[in-house]
Amino acid sequence: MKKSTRIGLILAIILVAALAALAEWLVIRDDDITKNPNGLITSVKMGGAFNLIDHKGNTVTEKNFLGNYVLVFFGYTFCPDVCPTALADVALVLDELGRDSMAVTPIMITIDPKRDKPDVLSEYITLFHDRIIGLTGTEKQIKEVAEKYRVFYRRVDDQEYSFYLMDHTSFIYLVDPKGTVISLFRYGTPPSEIADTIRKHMKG
Amino acid sequence: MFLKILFSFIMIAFIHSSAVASEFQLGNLTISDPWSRATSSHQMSGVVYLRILNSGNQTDRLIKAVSIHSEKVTLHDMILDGDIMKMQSIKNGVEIPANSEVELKPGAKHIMLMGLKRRLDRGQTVSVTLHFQHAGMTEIKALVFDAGSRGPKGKNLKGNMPGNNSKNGHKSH
Ligand SMILES: [Cu+2]
Repeated sequence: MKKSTRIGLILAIILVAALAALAEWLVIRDDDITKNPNGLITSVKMGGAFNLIDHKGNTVTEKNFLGNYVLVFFGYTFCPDVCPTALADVALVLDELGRDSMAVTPIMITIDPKRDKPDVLSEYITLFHDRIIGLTGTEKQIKEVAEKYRVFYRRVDDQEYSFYLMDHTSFIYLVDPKGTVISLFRYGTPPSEIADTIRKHMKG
Repeated sequence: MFLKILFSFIMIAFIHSSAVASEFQLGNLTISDPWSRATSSHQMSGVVYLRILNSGNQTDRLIKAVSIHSEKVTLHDMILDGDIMKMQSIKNGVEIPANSEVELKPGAKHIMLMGLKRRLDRGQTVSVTLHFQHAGMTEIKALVFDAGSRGPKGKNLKGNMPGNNSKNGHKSH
Protein backbone atom coordinates (compact mmCIF):
# COMPACT_ATOMS: atom_id res chain seq x y z
CA MET A 1 0.00 0.00 0.00
CA LYS A 2 2.76 2.34 1.04
CA LYS A 3 4.55 1.37 -2.11
CA SER A 4 1.65 2.04 -4.46
CA THR A 5 1.09 5.45 -2.91
CA ARG A 6 4.73 6.26 -3.40
CA ILE A 7 4.71 5.00 -6.99
CA GLY A 8 1.58 7.05 -7.60
CA LEU A 9 3.28 10.15 -6.34
CA ILE A 10 6.42 9.43 -8.29
CA LEU A 11 4.31 9.00 -11.44
CA ALA A 12 2.59 12.26 -10.67
CA ILE A 13 5.94 13.96 -10.27
CA ILE A 14 7.23 12.52 -13.54
CA LEU A 15 4.12 13.65 -15.36
CA VAL A 16 4.22 17.04 -13.81
CA ALA A 17 7.88 17.23 -14.76
CA ALA A 18 6.95 16.42 -18.34
CA LEU A 19 5.02 19.66 -18.43
CA ALA A 20 8.18 21.63 -17.79
CA ALA A 21 8.16 23.18 -21.22
CA LEU A 22 4.64 24.41 -20.68
CA ALA A 23 5.09 26.13 -17.36
CA GLU A 24 8.19 26.10 -15.23
CA TRP A 25 6.35 26.78 -11.97
CA LEU A 26 4.28 23.64 -12.40
CA VAL A 27 7.29 21.42 -11.88
CA ILE A 28 7.75 19.53 -8.64
CA ARG A 29 11.39 18.56 -8.19
CA ASP A 30 12.86 15.93 -5.93
CA ASP A 31 14.20 18.58 -3.61
CA ASP A 32 10.67 20.00 -3.27
CA ILE A 33 9.80 16.88 -1.33
CA THR A 34 10.78 16.04 2.25
CA LYS A 35 10.36 12.53 3.65
CA ASN A 36 10.60 11.10 7.16
CA PRO A 37 12.81 8.04 7.91
CA ASN A 38 9.89 5.74 7.07
CA GLY A 39 9.65 7.19 3.59
CA LEU A 40 6.40 8.98 4.35
CA ILE A 41 6.28 12.37 2.64
CA THR A 42 6.12 15.10 5.24
CA SER A 43 6.09 18.08 2.95
CA VAL A 44 5.78 19.08 -0.68
CA LYS A 45 6.95 22.60 -1.38
CA MET A 46 3.67 24.16 -2.47
CA GLY A 47 0.48 25.61 -1.05
CA GLY A 48 0.54 28.20 1.71
CA ALA A 49 -1.34 31.32 2.64
CA PHE A 50 -4.54 32.38 0.90
CA ASN A 51 -7.36 34.82 1.33
CA LEU A 52 -10.67 33.65 -0.10
CA ILE A 53 -14.46 33.68 0.39
CA ASP A 54 -16.34 30.55 1.39
CA HIS A 55 -19.69 29.40 -0.02
CA LYS A 56 -21.50 31.18 2.82
CA GLY A 57 -19.86 34.47 1.90
CA ASN A 58 -17.38 34.58 4.79
CA THR A 59 -13.76 35.65 4.33
CA VAL A 60 -11.43 32.76 5.11
CA THR A 61 -7.68 32.19 5.12
CA GLU A 62 -5.53 29.09 5.43
CA LYS A 63 -5.59 29.67 9.21
CA ASN A 64 -9.27 28.73 9.37
CA PHE A 65 -8.34 25.20 8.39
CA LEU A 66 -5.36 24.59 10.68
CA GLY A 67 -5.77 21.70 13.09
CA ASN A 68 -7.50 19.44 10.58
CA TYR A 69 -6.28 17.55 7.57
CA VAL A 70 -7.54 19.24 4.41
CA LEU A 71 -8.30 17.71 1.03
CA VAL A 72 -8.08 20.44 -1.59
CA PHE A 73 -9.53 20.18 -5.05
CA PHE A 74 -9.54 22.87 -7.75
CA GLY A 75 -12.44 22.80 -10.19
CA TYR A 76 -15.49 24.70 -11.39
CA THR A 77 -19.19 24.08 -11.12
CA PHE A 78 -19.98 24.26 -14.84
CA CYS A 79 -17.74 21.25 -15.38
CA PRO A 80 -20.04 18.25 -15.83
CA ASP A 81 -17.62 15.39 -16.38
CA VAL A 82 -14.32 15.53 -14.47
CA CYS A 83 -15.19 17.69 -11.45
CA PRO A 84 -18.25 15.71 -10.30
CA THR A 85 -16.18 12.53 -10.48
CA ALA A 86 -13.41 14.07 -8.39
CA LEU A 87 -15.84 15.48 -5.83
CA ALA A 88 -17.64 12.15 -5.59
CA ASP A 89 -14.24 10.58 -4.95
CA VAL A 90 -13.59 13.06 -2.15
CA ALA A 91 -16.95 12.10 -0.62
CA LEU A 92 -15.98 8.42 -0.90
CA VAL A 93 -12.67 9.12 0.85
CA LEU A 94 -14.64 10.59 3.75
CA ASP A 95 -17.01 7.60 3.78
CA GLU A 96 -14.05 5.26 3.81
CA LEU A 97 -12.48 7.08 6.76
CA GLY A 98 -15.63 6.68 8.82
CA ARG A 99 -15.46 8.69 12.03
CA ASP A 100 -11.85 9.66 11.29
CA SER A 101 -13.25 11.74 8.47
CA MET A 102 -14.19 14.38 11.05
CA ALA A 103 -10.48 15.19 11.18
CA VAL A 104 -10.52 15.93 7.44
CA THR A 105 -11.94 19.07 5.85
CA PRO A 106 -12.75 18.77 2.13
CA ILE A 107 -12.37 21.98 0.13
CA MET A 108 -13.16 22.83 -3.46
CA ILE A 109 -11.48 25.99 -4.73
CA THR A 110 -13.04 27.31 -7.91
CA ILE A 111 -10.85 28.30 -10.83
CA ASP A 112 -13.85 30.06 -12.34
CA PRO A 113 -14.57 32.84 -9.81
CA LYS A 114 -16.40 34.86 -12.42
CA ARG A 115 -19.34 32.47 -12.41
CA ASP A 116 -18.79 30.56 -9.19
CA LYS A 117 -20.13 33.04 -6.67
CA PRO A 118 -20.80 31.78 -3.11
CA ASP A 119 -24.45 30.88 -3.78
CA VAL A 120 -23.54 28.99 -6.96
CA LEU A 121 -20.87 27.03 -5.11
CA SER A 122 -23.16 26.41 -2.18
CA GLU A 123 -25.85 24.63 -4.19
CA TYR A 124 -23.27 22.65 -6.14
CA ILE A 125 -21.13 21.27 -3.34
CA THR A 126 -24.08 20.04 -1.31
CA LEU A 127 -24.85 17.71 -4.23
CA PHE A 128 -21.76 15.77 -3.17
CA HIS A 129 -21.18 16.02 0.57
CA ASP A 130 -22.50 18.09 3.40
CA ARG A 131 -19.06 18.98 4.71
CA ILE A 132 -17.40 20.11 1.50
CA ILE A 133 -16.47 23.78 1.70
CA GLY A 134 -16.52 25.81 -1.50
CA LEU A 135 -14.04 28.65 -1.86
CA THR A 136 -14.08 31.50 -4.33
CA GLY A 137 -12.60 34.99 -4.48
CA THR A 138 -11.53 37.70 -6.88
CA GLU A 139 -9.76 36.64 -10.07
CA LYS A 140 -6.52 37.84 -8.49
CA GLN A 141 -7.03 35.89 -5.26
CA ILE A 142 -7.79 32.71 -7.21
CA LYS A 143 -4.78 33.23 -9.45
CA GLU A 144 -2.57 33.55 -6.38
CA VAL A 145 -3.79 30.39 -4.66
CA ALA A 146 -3.72 28.43 -7.92
CA GLU A 147 -0.12 29.44 -8.50
CA LYS A 148 0.81 28.34 -4.99
CA TYR A 149 -0.65 24.91 -5.73
CA ARG A 150 0.83 24.96 -9.24
CA VAL A 151 -2.60 24.58 -10.75
CA PHE A 152 -2.85 25.31 -14.44
CA TYR A 153 -6.19 26.64 -15.70
CA ARG A 154 -7.32 28.35 -18.83
CA ARG A 155 -10.64 29.63 -20.07
CA VAL A 156 -11.76 28.05 -23.33
CA ASP A 157 -14.25 30.01 -25.39
CA ASP A 158 -16.15 28.49 -28.24
CA GLN A 159 -18.11 30.49 -30.76
CA GLU A 160 -20.77 27.81 -30.72
CA TYR A 161 -21.81 28.47 -27.14
CA SER A 162 -22.84 31.45 -25.15
CA PHE A 163 -20.67 30.23 -22.29
CA TYR A 164 -17.19 28.87 -21.76
CA LEU A 165 -15.45 25.82 -20.38
CA MET A 166 -12.12 25.56 -18.58
CA ASP A 167 -9.06 23.41 -19.12
CA HIS A 168 -7.40 22.62 -15.82
CA THR A 169 -5.11 20.27 -13.91
CA SER A 170 -7.06 18.26 -11.39
CA PHE A 171 -4.99 16.90 -8.56
CA ILE A 172 -6.38 16.33 -5.11
CA TYR A 173 -4.00 17.76 -2.50
CA LEU A 174 -3.64 16.57 1.06
CA VAL A 175 -2.68 19.24 3.56
CA ASP A 176 -1.68 18.35 7.13
CA PRO A 177 -3.05 20.03 10.29
CA LYS A 178 -0.10 22.47 10.26
CA GLY A 179 -0.98 23.64 6.76
CA THR A 180 1.78 21.76 4.91
CA VAL A 181 0.99 19.98 1.64
CA ILE A 182 1.94 16.34 2.17
CA SER A 183 0.52 14.53 -0.84
CA LEU A 184 -1.03 15.05 -4.21
CA PHE A 185 -3.16 12.52 -5.99
CA ARG A 186 -3.72 12.38 -9.70
CA TYR A 187 -7.23 12.42 -11.11
CA GLY A 188 -8.58 8.87 -10.93
CA THR A 189 -6.65 7.75 -7.83
CA PRO A 190 -8.91 5.24 -6.04
CA PRO A 191 -10.55 6.83 -2.97
CA SER A 192 -9.39 3.88 -0.85
CA GLU A 193 -5.78 4.75 -1.69
CA ILE A 194 -6.28 8.37 -0.66
CA ALA A 195 -7.98 7.23 2.57
CA ASP A 196 -5.07 4.86 3.31
CA THR A 197 -2.56 7.68 2.88
CA ILE A 198 -4.54 9.91 5.23
CA ARG A 199 -4.75 7.12 7.83
CA LYS A 200 -1.02 6.55 7.60
CA HIS A 201 -0.39 10.22 8.34
CA MET A 202 -2.90 10.20 11.18
CA LYS A 203 -0.93 7.39 12.79
CA GLY A 204 2.26 9.37 12.22
CA MET B 1 -51.77 29.69 -23.30
CA PHE B 2 -52.43 26.56 -25.32
CA LEU B 3 -48.71 26.13 -25.89
CA LYS B 4 -48.10 26.53 -22.19
CA ILE B 5 -50.59 23.75 -21.38
CA LEU B 6 -49.15 21.53 -24.07
CA PHE B 7 -45.68 22.18 -22.70
CA SER B 8 -46.72 21.22 -19.17
CA PHE B 9 -48.25 18.04 -20.52
CA ILE B 10 -44.99 17.16 -22.21
CA MET B 11 -43.06 17.94 -19.04
CA ILE B 12 -45.42 15.82 -16.94
CA ALA B 13 -45.21 13.06 -19.51
CA PHE B 14 -41.49 12.69 -19.20
CA ILE B 15 -41.30 13.24 -15.48
CA HIS B 16 -43.86 10.52 -14.91
CA SER B 17 -42.58 7.99 -17.40
CA SER B 18 -42.54 5.16 -14.88
CA ALA B 19 -40.73 2.23 -16.45
CA VAL B 20 -37.44 3.30 -17.95
CA ALA B 21 -36.11 1.04 -20.65
CA SER B 22 -32.43 0.27 -20.31
CA GLU B 23 -31.93 -0.95 -23.87
CA PHE B 24 -32.76 0.68 -27.17
CA GLN B 25 -32.49 -1.17 -30.46
CA LEU B 26 -31.74 0.52 -33.78
CA GLY B 27 -30.91 -1.86 -36.61
CA ASN B 28 -27.67 -3.56 -35.64
CA LEU B 29 -27.06 -1.15 -32.81
CA THR B 30 -28.02 -1.76 -29.20
CA ILE B 31 -27.82 1.27 -26.93
CA SER B 32 -27.67 0.27 -23.28
CA ASP B 33 -28.00 1.94 -19.90
CA PRO B 34 -28.03 5.59 -20.90
CA TRP B 35 -27.58 7.70 -17.78
CA SER B 36 -26.94 11.25 -16.71
CA ARG B 37 -25.94 13.19 -13.62
CA ALA B 38 -28.03 15.49 -11.46
CA THR B 39 -27.06 19.16 -11.67
CA SER B 40 -27.50 22.26 -9.57
CA SER B 41 -29.84 24.96 -10.86
CA HIS B 42 -26.87 27.12 -11.92
CA GLN B 43 -25.09 24.54 -14.01
CA MET B 44 -25.41 25.19 -17.71
CA SER B 45 -24.17 21.85 -18.89
CA GLY B 46 -25.04 18.23 -18.32
CA VAL B 47 -23.78 14.89 -19.53
CA VAL B 48 -25.18 11.68 -20.96
CA TYR B 49 -23.24 8.42 -20.94
CA LEU B 50 -24.20 5.11 -22.55
CA ARG B 51 -22.93 2.01 -24.27
CA ILE B 52 -23.41 1.25 -27.96
CA LEU B 53 -23.02 -2.28 -29.25
CA ASN B 54 -22.65 -2.74 -32.98
CA SER B 55 -23.51 -6.34 -33.85
CA GLY B 56 -23.35 -5.67 -37.58
CA ASN B 57 -20.43 -6.09 -39.98
CA GLN B 58 -20.17 -2.45 -40.86
CA THR B 59 -18.66 0.42 -38.92
CA ASP B 60 -21.18 3.02 -37.86
CA ARG B 61 -20.78 6.44 -36.35
CA LEU B 62 -22.67 8.46 -33.81
CA ILE B 63 -22.60 11.74 -35.69
CA LYS B 64 -25.06 13.96 -33.87
CA ALA B 65 -27.34 14.19 -30.87
CA VAL B 66 -30.17 16.57 -30.03
CA SER B 67 -32.25 17.08 -26.92
CA ILE B 68 -35.16 19.22 -25.81
CA HIS B 69 -33.34 19.72 -22.51
CA SER B 70 -30.54 21.89 -23.83
CA GLU B 71 -29.77 24.48 -26.46
CA LYS B 72 -27.14 22.30 -28.02
CA VAL B 73 -25.77 18.81 -27.70
CA THR B 74 -22.11 18.15 -28.40
CA LEU B 75 -20.08 14.99 -28.65
CA HIS B 76 -17.05 15.45 -26.44
CA ASP B 77 -13.91 13.64 -25.54
CA MET B 78 -12.03 14.25 -22.32
CA ILE B 79 -8.36 14.24 -23.07
CA LEU B 80 -5.36 14.46 -20.81
CA ASP B 81 -2.68 16.83 -22.10
CA GLY B 82 0.07 16.24 -19.56
CA ASP B 83 -2.03 16.62 -16.45
CA ILE B 84 -4.38 19.16 -17.93
CA MET B 85 -7.90 17.92 -18.51
CA LYS B 86 -9.38 19.21 -21.72
CA MET B 87 -12.74 18.70 -23.33
CA GLN B 88 -12.59 18.42 -27.08
CA SER B 89 -15.45 18.16 -29.48
CA ILE B 90 -15.34 15.03 -31.59
CA LYS B 91 -15.23 16.21 -35.18
CA ASN B 92 -16.15 13.14 -37.19
CA GLY B 93 -18.45 11.49 -34.74
CA VAL B 94 -17.91 8.57 -32.41
CA GLU B 95 -16.85 5.51 -34.37
CA ILE B 96 -18.65 2.29 -33.49
CA PRO B 97 -16.59 -0.46 -35.16
CA ALA B 98 -18.29 -3.61 -36.46
CA ASN B 99 -18.91 -6.29 -33.84
CA SER B 100 -17.78 -4.21 -30.94
CA GLU B 101 -19.05 -2.08 -28.12
CA VAL B 102 -18.15 1.50 -27.34
CA GLU B 103 -18.76 3.02 -23.95
CA LEU B 104 -19.26 6.69 -23.29
CA LYS B 105 -18.25 7.20 -19.68
CA PRO B 106 -16.91 9.73 -17.15
CA GLY B 107 -13.46 11.02 -17.97
CA ALA B 108 -13.75 9.83 -21.57
CA LYS B 109 -16.12 10.31 -24.50
CA HIS B 110 -19.46 11.77 -23.50
CA ILE B 111 -22.55 13.44 -24.83
CA MET B 112 -22.66 16.96 -23.49
CA LEU B 113 -25.84 18.93 -23.02
CA MET B 114 -24.77 22.53 -23.55
CA GLY B 115 -27.05 25.24 -22.24
CA LEU B 116 -29.28 23.18 -19.98
CA LYS B 117 -32.79 24.58 -19.85
CA ARG B 118 -33.38 23.48 -16.30
CA ARG B 119 -31.86 21.52 -13.46
CA LEU B 120 -31.60 17.76 -13.85
CA ASP B 121 -32.88 15.92 -10.81
CA ARG B 122 -32.02 12.42 -9.72
CA GLY B 123 -34.64 9.93 -10.91
CA GLN B 124 -35.76 12.04 -13.85
CA THR B 125 -35.16 10.95 -17.43
CA VAL B 126 -33.50 12.97 -20.18
CA SER B 127 -34.55 12.37 -23.78
CA VAL B 128 -31.81 12.49 -26.36
CA THR B 129 -32.13 11.71 -30.05
CA LEU B 130 -29.05 10.00 -31.44
CA HIS B 131 -28.19 10.21 -35.12
CA PHE B 132 -26.03 7.50 -36.66
CA GLN B 133 -24.38 7.61 -40.06
CA HIS B 134 -25.90 4.31 -41.19
CA ALA B 135 -28.46 3.11 -38.68
CA GLY B 136 -30.43 6.36 -38.69
CA MET B 137 -31.85 7.98 -35.61
CA THR B 138 -33.53 6.95 -32.38
CA GLU B 139 -34.65 8.58 -29.19
CA ILE B 140 -33.27 7.24 -25.94
CA LYS B 141 -34.08 8.17 -22.36
CA ALA B 142 -31.19 8.57 -19.98
CA LEU B 143 -31.87 8.09 -16.30
CA VAL B 144 -30.50 10.79 -14.02
CA PHE B 145 -28.37 9.47 -11.16
CA ASP B 146 -26.81 11.55 -8.41
CA ALA B 147 -24.36 14.31 -9.28
CA GLY B 148 -21.20 12.30 -8.72
CA SER B 149 -22.46 8.92 -9.89
CA ARG B 150 -20.22 6.50 -11.76
CA GLY B 151 -23.24 5.09 -13.52
CA PRO B 152 -25.16 1.84 -13.36
CA LYS B 153 -23.37 -1.01 -11.66
CA GLY B 154 -23.68 -4.69 -12.49
CA LYS B 155 -23.81 -4.13 -16.23
CA ASN B 156 -24.57 -7.74 -16.98
CA LEU B 157 -27.56 -7.90 -14.68
CA LYS B 158 -30.90 -7.86 -16.38
CA GLY B 159 -33.59 -5.72 -14.90
CA ASN B 160 -33.85 -2.10 -14.01
CA MET B 161 -31.58 -1.54 -11.05
CA PRO B 162 -29.85 1.69 -11.89
CA GLY B 163 -27.40 2.94 -9.30
CA ASN B 164 -27.31 -0.56 -7.86
CA ASN B 165 -24.24 0.14 -5.81
CA SER B 166 -21.94 -2.47 -4.45
CA LYS B 167 -22.00 -2.75 -0.65
CA ASN B 168 -19.19 -0.33 -0.03
CA GLY B 169 -20.49 2.14 -2.55
CA HIS B 170 -17.48 2.01 -4.77
CA LYS B 171 -15.44 -0.26 -6.95
CA SER B 172 -12.23 -1.71 -5.67
CA HIS B 173 -9.33 -1.41 -8.08
CU1 LIG C 1 -17.98 17.80 -22.38
